[in-house]
Amino acid sequence: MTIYVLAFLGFMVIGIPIAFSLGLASVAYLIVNDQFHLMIGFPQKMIAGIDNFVLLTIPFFILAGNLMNSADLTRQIVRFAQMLVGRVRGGLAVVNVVASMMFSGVSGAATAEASAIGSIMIPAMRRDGYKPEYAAALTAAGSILGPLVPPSLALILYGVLTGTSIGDLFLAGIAPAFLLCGLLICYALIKARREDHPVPEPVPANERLGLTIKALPALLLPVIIVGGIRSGVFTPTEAAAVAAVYALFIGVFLYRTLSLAKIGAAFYETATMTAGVMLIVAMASMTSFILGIENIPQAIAAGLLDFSTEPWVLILLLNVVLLFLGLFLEPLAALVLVMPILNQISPLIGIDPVQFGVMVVLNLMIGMITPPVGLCLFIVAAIGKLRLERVALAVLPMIGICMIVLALVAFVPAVTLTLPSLLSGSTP
Amino acid sequence: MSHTAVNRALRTGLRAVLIALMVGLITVMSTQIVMRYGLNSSLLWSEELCRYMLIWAAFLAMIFAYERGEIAALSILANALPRKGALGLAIFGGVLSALMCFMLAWYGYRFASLAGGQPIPAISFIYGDIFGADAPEAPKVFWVYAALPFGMALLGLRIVFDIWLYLKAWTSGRTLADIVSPERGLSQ
Repeated sequence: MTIYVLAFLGFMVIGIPIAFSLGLASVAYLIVNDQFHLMIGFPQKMIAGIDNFVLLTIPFFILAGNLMNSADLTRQIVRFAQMLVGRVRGGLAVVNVVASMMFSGVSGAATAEASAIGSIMIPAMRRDGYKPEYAAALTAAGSILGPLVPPSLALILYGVLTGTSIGDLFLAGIAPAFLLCGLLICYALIKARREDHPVPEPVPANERLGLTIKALPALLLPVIIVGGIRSGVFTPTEAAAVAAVYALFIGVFLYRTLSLAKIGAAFYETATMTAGVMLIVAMASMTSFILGIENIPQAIAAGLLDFSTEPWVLILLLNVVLLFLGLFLEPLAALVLVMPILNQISPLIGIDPVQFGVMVVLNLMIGMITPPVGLCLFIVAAIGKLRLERVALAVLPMIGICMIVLALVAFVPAVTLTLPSLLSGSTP
Repeated sequence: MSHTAVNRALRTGLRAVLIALMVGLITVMSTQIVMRYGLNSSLLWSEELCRYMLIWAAFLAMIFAYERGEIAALSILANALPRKGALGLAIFGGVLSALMCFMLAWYGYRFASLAGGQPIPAISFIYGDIFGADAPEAPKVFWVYAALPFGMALLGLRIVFDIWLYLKAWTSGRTLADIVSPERGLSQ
C-alpha cells in the first residue's frame, strides 16, 4: 500500500492530472506487486463505476444548470438578490452570498457555481471598490452551498455508493446550507461595517415585478426536484430529467434567450462536464479496486476502533482525516475512495447515514476552497486574475465559518435530520 | 493545412454524436415518464438504454474534458522549474498518462471481448416489439463495453499530440506556459 501512496503522490506532484495519478498509481501497484494479470479488472471496475441508473441524474442536473446559465438566469438571480438584500452597507457582498444560495438550487457542483456567480460578482464587487481577493474568496466560500442544496452531485454519488435515499440526503443538506449562508452574510455585514464598504444603488421600483417573475421559476426548481422525489412521484433519475426539461422550457418560452445554437452548446457542455465527473469516478474506481484487494477498508476500520470506540472521538477523527483528504483530492474521487472504508465504520459509530453523508460531503467540499488542490479557489483566482496565495489567505476566515457549520452537522443530528423526518410524515 | 481540416471534421463529428447522445438520453427519459404516468405502461428497455448511452457519452467526451482541464492537476513544480525542466516534466507526465490510456484501451478491448458475448437485452426488447417473433439478433454487449477502449484510445492520442507540442516548444525555445491554451485554465 505504501507503494501505491508514494506513487500517487509522486505522479501528482510532477503535475500529472490527479485523476490520472490515481489510475497510474493503481497500475504501478499491480506491476510492483507482480499482479499484472489483474489489469483486466480495471476496465470492468471503471465501467461498473459509471454503469448506474442513479448516476444518470448527473448529466440531467448538469444539463438543467447549463441551460439555466446559458439562458442568462445567473444575471436575473443576481439582480433579484440585489433587489431583496442589496440595500445595506456591504450590499454587494451579501448579494454575492444570497445569489450563490439561489444558484445552488439550479447547480449541483461547486465548480459550476464558482464560475457562474464569480464571473458576474467578482468584477462587479471590484468595480464597487471591494478588495478583489475578498470578492473572490467570498464567491469560493459561497460555491460550497451548491453541493449542499439540491440538486447535489456529491450527495447523489454518496447515495449511489452507500444506498442511502437521495431524497433524504437532499433534504438533509438544506438546513446546513441556510446556516452557512446566514453565517457568511453575518461575516460580510461585520466586515462591511469595519472596512466601510459601499451601499449599492437600489433596484428601480418598476423593475421589481419583472425580476421576481423571472427569478421565481429558478427558485422553484429545487422544490420540484425534492418534492417530486419525496412524494414518490418521480425516481431521482426522472426528477433530474424533469428538471432538465423544465429548464429548457423556461429558457425557450419564459426568458426567450435560448436559441438552438445555445441549446446545442449546452448539451455539448453537459456531455463534457459529465465526462469529467465520470473520468474521475472511473479512475477512482480502479484505486478502490486495489484497496479492496488489500482489504484496506477493513484494516482501517479495525485500526480506528482500536484507537477508540467513543463515537465522538471517532467522528472527530474522521473529520480530520476527511478534511486532510479533501486538501488533495477532488470530492467525487475522494468519495469513491473513502466510502468503502466509511461504510465499514459508520454503523459502528451509530451515526445516521443521511447525517453522515452531509458531513462527509461538507468535509470534502471545504477542500475545494483550500490549496493545494482547491478547484473553486483556482476558478475564482482565474476570474479575478489574482494570485492563488492572496485568495487563499482571504478565504481563511470563511473556512473557519465552514468549520463551525461542519461541527454542527457532525455533532448535532437535528441540523440535518429534522427536515427529512418532518417531511416523511406527510408523504402519502 | 489538411491535418487541421481532418482535426476539425473529427471534432465536429464527435461533438454532433455527443449532442445526439444527450438528446437521446433526455428524450428516452421523458418518454418513459410520459408512458408511465400518461399511458400507464413502462418501457422495459428505457433504463438500460439510458445507462448505455451514458457510458458512451462519458467515454467519448473524456477527450474534451481533458482538453478543457476539467481534471485538476498541480502546477507548483512546473511553475518553479526553468523552461526545459518544466517541459521535460510535462513530457514525462504525458508519456506516462498516454501509456496508461493505451493500456486501459487494450485491456478494455480484451474485457469487452471476454464479457460482451450476450446480445444487448434492451435492443432485443426493441427488436421484439418491432419485428415480433422473427426479430433479428440484437448487437452484442461488446458494443457497450467498446466505449471504454475507444474513448481511452482517443484520450491517449490526444495526450500524444500534447507531447508533440511540448517537444516542438522544447526545440523552438518557447515555454510550457506559452503553449498551454487559456481554456486549460484549471490545470494551470
